[in-house]
Amino acid sequence: MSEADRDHLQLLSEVRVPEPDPEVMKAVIAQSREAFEIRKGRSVAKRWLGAPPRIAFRWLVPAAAGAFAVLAVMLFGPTLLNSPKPGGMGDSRVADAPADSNTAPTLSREADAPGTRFGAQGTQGRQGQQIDPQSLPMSVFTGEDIRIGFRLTPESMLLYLPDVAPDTPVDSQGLLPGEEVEILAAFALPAEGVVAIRIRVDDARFWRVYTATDGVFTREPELSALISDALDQAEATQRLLNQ
Amino acid sequence: MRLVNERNEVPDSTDSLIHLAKSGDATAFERLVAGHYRFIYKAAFRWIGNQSDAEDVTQTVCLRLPDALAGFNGRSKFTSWLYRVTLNAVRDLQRKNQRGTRLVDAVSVVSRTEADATQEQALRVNDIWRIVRQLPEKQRDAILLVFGEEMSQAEAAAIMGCKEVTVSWHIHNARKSLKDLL
Repeated sequence: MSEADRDHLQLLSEVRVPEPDPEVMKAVIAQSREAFEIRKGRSVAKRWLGAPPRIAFRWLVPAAAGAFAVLAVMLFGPTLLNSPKPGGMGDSRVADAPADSNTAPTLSREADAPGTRFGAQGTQGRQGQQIDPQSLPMSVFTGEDIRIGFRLTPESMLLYLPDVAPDTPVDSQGLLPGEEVEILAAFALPAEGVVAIRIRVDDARFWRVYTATDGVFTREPELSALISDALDQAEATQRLLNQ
Repeated sequence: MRLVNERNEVPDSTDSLIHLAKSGDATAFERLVAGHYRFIYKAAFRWIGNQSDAEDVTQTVCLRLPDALAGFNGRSKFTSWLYRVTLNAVRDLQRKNQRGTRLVDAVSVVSRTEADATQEQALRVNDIWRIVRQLPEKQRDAILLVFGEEMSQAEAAAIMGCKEVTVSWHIHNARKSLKDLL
């Protein structure tokens, strides 16, 4: 870069920022304190209601999942046995819904709005063709304490943990023709053995959580639903750690 | 460096305030927010270039803080962490605006704030801001943190959640993109 260009960029620091409106500032600080007090009230109520959440979580979730699985097999087993085989390797086409389904992100199936498009799309014009994912180039997204590899096929985005198992996908996100997908964020909580990835598919944004069992990472549906609509990494981390 | 200067405006007991707020002290939390309000607002403004949107982002961040603070583990500087929370809120707003086909346009605001600079210089600054804001997200972030906020590449990397060499790479690519535009 020439010296002139360097000077241009240095001009960026010269912009002056107007002072914030003091009335707005006072109101926002008061709102923030109010939100803090409401949250504090919720936390106290949560502690008062039962066992420490982390302890409860460790055995309640597997127990509930087991009971649900048994019930599901009894109820739907015969139907599932007769249903057609799924097209892929269990691709998810929707996000894991958070507890409050009213706020759950959903995938829009409406026609794409006009305008600028961002993010990657599955390879077009090759629908239905058999493509060996390993033959596709792997892109890598660097998050906090974790790298996420991904390959785009015409029908899905395959997710990898290249530093753990570079050849085995940990998950996949199903894609409809023309849908855009991108990884927005990712982080790991090494002490908890947790990896979280935020994905955008068209207008829907959601988190997925993966936990390790015997060194193999798999999607954790309950935790994914828990943080699915978290607005950022800080909020997702806080929700995970408060389990 | 601006980041450090602004941190110094905050009461020197930021760590104590965080500790007290995490243990449920609402007054400490309020002082923490009040002490960092300008920091959040100014960071948002530099990113967006619009006072009204910067205030919206500041409000969003302040309302997220009661929940988000629990996730602050002290491994990074509080201001670095707060900057990242702010940047996430800025990105959310920018994506929303892009969806609504409303492009970021800071020119008029910057023109007013640069009233005491020479007209030519002010226009030049406006132009550079406008062009840089249209760079791809990562390149724009790297340029604005390093040149706009005058951070080191290591500090920018901490905020962007990537390695220092990645910041260098984004700046390198941004420079290539800007070469023909500036």
